[in-house]
Formats: sequence, C-alpha cells, structure tokens
Amino acid sequence: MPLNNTVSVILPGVVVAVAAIVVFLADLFLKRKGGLAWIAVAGLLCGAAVAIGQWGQWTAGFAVWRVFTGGLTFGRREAVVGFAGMIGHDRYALYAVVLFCAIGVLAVLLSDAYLARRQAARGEFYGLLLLIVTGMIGMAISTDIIAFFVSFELMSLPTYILAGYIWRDEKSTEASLKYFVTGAFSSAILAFGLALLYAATGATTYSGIAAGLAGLQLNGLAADGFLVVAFVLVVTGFGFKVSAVPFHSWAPDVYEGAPTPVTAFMATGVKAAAFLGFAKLFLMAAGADWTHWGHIMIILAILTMVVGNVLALPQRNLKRMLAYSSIAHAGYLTLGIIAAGKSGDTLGVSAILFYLAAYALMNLGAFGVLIWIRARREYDYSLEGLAGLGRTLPWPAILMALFMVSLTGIPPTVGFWGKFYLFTAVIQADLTWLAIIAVVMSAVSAYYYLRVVWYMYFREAPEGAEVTEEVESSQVGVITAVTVAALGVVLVGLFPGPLLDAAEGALRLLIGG
Amino acid sequence: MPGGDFHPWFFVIVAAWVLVCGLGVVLFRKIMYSAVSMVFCFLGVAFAYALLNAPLVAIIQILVYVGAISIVIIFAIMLTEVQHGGYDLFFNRQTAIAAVVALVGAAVLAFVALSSDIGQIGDKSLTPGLRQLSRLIFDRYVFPFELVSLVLVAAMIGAIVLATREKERP
Repeated sequence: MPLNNTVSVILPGVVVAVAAIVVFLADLFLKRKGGLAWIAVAGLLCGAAVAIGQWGQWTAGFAVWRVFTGGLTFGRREAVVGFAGMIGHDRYALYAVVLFCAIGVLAVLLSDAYLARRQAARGEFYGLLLLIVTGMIGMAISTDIIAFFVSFELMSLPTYILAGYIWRDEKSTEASLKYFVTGAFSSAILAFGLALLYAATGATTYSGIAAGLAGLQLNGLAADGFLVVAFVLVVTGFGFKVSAVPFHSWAPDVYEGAPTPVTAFMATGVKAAAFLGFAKLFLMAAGADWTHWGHIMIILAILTMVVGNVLALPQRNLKRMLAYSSIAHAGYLTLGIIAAGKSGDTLGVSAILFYLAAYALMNLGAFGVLIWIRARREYDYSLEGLAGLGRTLPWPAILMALFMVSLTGIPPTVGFWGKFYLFTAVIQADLTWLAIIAVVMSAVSAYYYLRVVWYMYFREAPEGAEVTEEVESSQVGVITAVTVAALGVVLVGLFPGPLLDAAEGALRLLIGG
Repeated sequence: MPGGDFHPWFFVIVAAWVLVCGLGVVLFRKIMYSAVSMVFCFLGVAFAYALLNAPLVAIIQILVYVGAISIVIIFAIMLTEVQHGGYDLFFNRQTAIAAVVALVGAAVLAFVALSSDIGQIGDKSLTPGLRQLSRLIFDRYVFPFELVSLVLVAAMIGAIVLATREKERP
C-alpha cells in the first residue's frame, strides 16, 4: 500500500482534470460534438472507479479531528496526508469523489440534448464542467486553507461561465453576471475570514489551526472576539455558496436564468461540494472550537429553513420553486454540521453524506423531468403548464410525482431516509428543538411539492398543450439520467442499507470493514 | 504599531495616504479619477509592505496591482465607455449606508484586533524573501500552486467562451 505515494492521494482528481484537458483538445479535432459528452462521462466514471478502488486502502475520515475533540475513537489516528498536510485523503473524501463524479455524469447526460436544442453544443461546456468537478474534489480532499480556497475558486469560476452559457438568452446572461458578482464578493469575504484564522493560529493546515486554537486556550491568550469575527466571515462565505438565508437572494434569479442542466448541477453538485468542503474545514480545524461558530450556524440554519420554505410557497415558476426548495434543503443540511460540531460525534456528518446523495438523486431527477417535458412540447416552467400532464405525458408525470414525494420526505423514498437520519443526528446532539423546527418546515414543504402533483393529475390541460412532434435531437441522455435518478430514489428508498453503510464507513471503521 | 525598523510616523503617513486614496476611489464621480486613485492606493499598500520588512511582497504588489491590474481596469473602462452616459457613476445613492457599514466594520475589526493577543502569535523570525517564498511554493504549497494553473485554464477558456459569438451551427 503506497501510503507515501502522494500522487495516488490526488489520483481521482487528476483523472478528472486530465479528462477535462482531453475534452478541450478533442474539441479541436472531433467533427461531431456529441462524442465529447461521452469522453466526459468516461473521465468521470474513471475518477469514480479510482476512488472506489482506493476505498479499502484509506482510513476513515477526519483522523485529525478526533484527536482534538477527544470524541469517539474510530480507526487509526494518523491521517493519510500528502503534500505536507495539504491533502487528507480519507474515505470521507473518497465518498465525496464518487458522489461528485456521479452528479457530474447525470449532469452531462442531461446537458447533451438540451444544448443541441438551444444550439449551444460546444465542447467547452463539458471541459468546464469537468474542471468544476475537479475543484469540487479539491474542496473535499483539502486539509489546508490555501488548497481549500484555490479549489473553491476552481469550482466557482467555471460555474459563472456555465450559468451564462446560452448567450442569446438575456436571463442566462443576467444570471451569470449576478452569480459572478455575488460569488466574487463572497470569495473575498471567505478569503478575509481564512486570513484572520491564519493570523490567529499561525497555521494554514486544518490540523495546525486546530492545534493553534487549542494553544490559544492553553496559554490563556485573549482572542475570542477576533475568532468570532473570523468565523462570521468564513460562515458568510459558506452561506453565500450554499445559498443560506440571509445570503440567498441571488439563488432564485440565477437558478431561473441559468440553463436548466447547469441549474441542476449547481443545486446538487456545487452545493454538495460546498457542504462537504466546509464541513471538513469547520470540524477538522475548529471542531473543538464549537462555541465560536456554532451559534452563528444555528441562526443561519433556522433562518434558512424557515425563509426558504415560506418563500417557496407562492412560487409558480418551477425553477424558482426548486431554487427556494434548494435553499430550504441547505438549511436542513446545515443542521448536520451543527450536530456534529456540538456532539463531537460523526453521526451528523454521516447524515450529511447520505442526505447529499439522496438530494442529488431527487433534485437532478426533478430538473431532468423539466428538460424532458421541454423537449416534447412548449413549456415555460410554470405550474399551470403542468396541468393535465398525467394524461398527456404519463411517464414524465409519474417520475416528477416520485421526485416531488421524495423531496417532501415521504417514505419509502430516499428523501424520507435522508431526513430521518439527519434529524436523528440532530436529536442525538441534544438539539431536539432544532429538529422540531426542521420537521415542521418539512411539513410546510409538502404544500408546494405536492401541489405540483395535484396540478399534473387533477387539473385539465389547457387548450393547445398537445405534445408536439419529437424534436430532432435524441432524448436518450435525458431519459437515461432521469431513469437512473428514479431507480436510485426507489431502490435506495427501499434498501437504504448499503448507502448508509458507505456514509457511515466514510467516517468510522465498521466491524470487519 | 507593527514591529519593524522604522519611525512610527512613516507608517502613519503611509496609512493616511492609503486612506485618502481609498476615499478617492469611492468618492470621485468620474470613474477614471476613481481608477487613478486606486492605482495610488495600491502604491501606498506597497509602501506599507516595504515598511513591514516584506520587500518581495512590495515588489509583487507593484508589479501585479500597480502594473497589471490597473492597466486592465483602465482598458475595461475604455472598452465599456457608454457613448451618451459619460464616465459618471450611475448609482451613488448608497453613500450614507455604505459609509456607516464601512465605519462599523472598521471599528469592529480594529476593536477585536486590539483587544486580543493575536499579535503574540506567529513566527516573528520569518523574513519572506525570494528564497523562502520559492521554497514554500515549490515544496510545501506545490499542490495549490499546481491547482492555480487549472484555475487559469478555466478562466482563459471561460473568457473565450463568453466572448465568442459564433454563428448558428447547421
């Protein structure tokens, strides 16, 4: 086992980055741009395969965290680190890599026909998407604030471009500009916060920061106010990226304006990477320092859950509704970080890992169905436009209903298990009142999710909503992606065991595992 | 007052310079004046680095900010000049709120920095010279350094994607 071989540590990320370069180069020589999508899919699958192959070799996650929190001892203490502590390659990171690659594959499948229809099928799209995935992987494997920040930028920059990819569409351009301005602003705030953390501890690695924070306490140095300011700035950067309230105002406009596959990817992939990257940063670098950031996070989570769900209620545009729903889900997910931080247990983080996979399946599926409907007939993403869909387009309608039920969190779908594990972790961290707020808010969310189902099955189709002829481009990619997502929602919903084992195994060594 | 081998008043002069130029950036009504103030502001920050015994950072500040970024900003202003609107800033109604936010932010930062002991943390013996910096970049920080090259690839290709307006494909 090549523990000291630092290249093997970053191998999955390297595979995806190389695939991006191959796509850019192949774009010059290939006449038919459809092949590029398959190169991208192959690259992502290779990245995931490498990560799965490494699963047995690496130790469970957050090796450094448990040293400083004195929490549960699970697995060996030494972290597998490369590049002088820049990279902590553990099963947590490997789980993240597989998740990001899977989201990437589904997003590519959703994009292919969509881009052809919007006459924007250019090779750069897939290359930039792969670079985003590389940045996402970087965020999950980084154990150093500089590597973290550069990965964060590598993830963010191409996302701004993809949001404005359909340049003929004014809304897409506006979305890109808005996303860029708020994104650049939040990056600056995050960088400032990280700089203050460095100033307070004199270290850039997570373990060094954790040691520095412990040293501050040990030597009785006063830095409370300073640390609170630093963490407020870091949490603000986090809040912008995951569209947590009160930093959410960009999300509905950007989600509505961006090309739908890009929206789906942003809502699932970029958000997942932000959660996994920041969870690692908060818990590894400052897990023992919970008091300085926990309360800010709790306020953020409550605001996000309440405002996201309440503002989703009046939305009549499905992309905007899903944007607010994605804000609400960011609120639930933040609870996982809070629970893990408060209890020093890994349960909250396992719940986040499981929830992110579940959320990716159902959200990519829902956006995929929207793309599918648009390929079959005129559709403006309005709720009214869905009326009578159960009769005119039975397959998209039934899958949409499935995804909405899952997003609400009704058993036996995967959405139920995601919420169940997350809220259990919150209750076990002695935060029952937070779990109650979350459950009440999930009940509120049933209104706007199930309203979609009601429109599809109990409203008569308006005149002229007939299915148009099949458009010239093939819908194989979209249908495959939506089917895979639907199968995932149902199968993992019925048999959550394996995925849950993986999510828990990412953080603690299972018996015989 | 930060440590270094200079009379405290030098730092006060440089700080005042940076402050005045910074105010100029936000208060001038012609955008070109703002841009030039920003160049001088960058220059003042470079002086501050030089005073704080970081000559290399000062030189890089001059090369990158005073040199490259200023030119890019002035080019951007020239290329986006609106024919009828002139250089005037279009929205300048948030002055009062922005002033309050900036002052409160500065006060909070100053307060927490002065009331804490973080001045005692960190390695004082470090002199960030060329040798130390290059050793750090190519040894300890080689991973983020290589990652930056991917960020540059993404930025360049992204700029081309946004700027290209290709004809409809058949």
